Amino acid sequence: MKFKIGDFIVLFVVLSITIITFVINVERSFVSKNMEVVVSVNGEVIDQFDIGSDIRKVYDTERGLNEIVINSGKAYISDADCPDSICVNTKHAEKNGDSVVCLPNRFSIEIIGHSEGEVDAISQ
Amino acid sequence: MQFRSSTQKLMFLSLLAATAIVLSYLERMIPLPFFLPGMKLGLANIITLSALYYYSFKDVLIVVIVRVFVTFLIVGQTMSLIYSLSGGVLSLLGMYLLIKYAKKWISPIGVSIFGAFLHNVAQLIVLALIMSSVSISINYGPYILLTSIGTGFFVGITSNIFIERIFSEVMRINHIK
Repeated sequence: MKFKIGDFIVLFVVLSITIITFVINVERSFVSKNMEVVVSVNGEVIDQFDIGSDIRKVYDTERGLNEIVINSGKAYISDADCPDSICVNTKHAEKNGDSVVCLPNRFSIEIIGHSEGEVDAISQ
Repeated sequence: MQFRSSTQKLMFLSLLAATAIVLSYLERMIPLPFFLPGMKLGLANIITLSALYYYSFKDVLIVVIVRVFVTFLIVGQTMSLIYSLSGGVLSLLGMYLLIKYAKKWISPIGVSIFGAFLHNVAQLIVLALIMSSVSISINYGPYILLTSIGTGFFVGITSNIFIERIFSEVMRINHIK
């Protein structure tokens, strides 16, 4: 078995696309002001909290139960009744762009930061 | 490939589908040390990839669809059906085009990495559609896409052995040219 030139091209393409998505992630994680935890079900936003708040709340949707916790600048799903429990074990969200998803329940929490100079900041 | 009868062809395709079903069921029992949604080894891809070197696109497509549906009946998760079907068909299409137009310059390992990559891309697209958020997909992107290099490499090596030692031998014994 030996490698051919095409293998390296494929490896290069896959690696570059991976690095591009990684760079997008790193770049947006620098935004650290006015960060909000956005709770969505089925792609619709149902709740928003400031990342600095201290909250434990249970969401009972038609697809299932999810309990979220926001504490000391981190947000995560602490409990869920989904079959795989992937969401409970996912890395806690703390930077802009981070998200925790519970796919069976179509439930997600996402951190969205707003950079300065937006209309909201002025109207406040 | 020249089969002696359509029954023989049907028999071989069923055998491939059955092997793929067992492999996708087995890989669910292997725990992976990462908590990533949808992360799998993709063992069934060994069958898809090897079959692409011997069968027409249509035949392999049938094997993939049968595998996905029967695995769905065993596992019973609607989500996994959507994921496996989109991932399976997209990676099949990509690998078929690579083998058709660049067979001379690429080994099964490269084809396999590309297939695993496309499989994960399809999953990220489905995730973005279901959660109506591209941002979530980009967040998981680097990890999921990086794993496709590892799993693709592993599956590629296995497929190479499968093609050389088992597939070609079975063909020879059964006098299929």
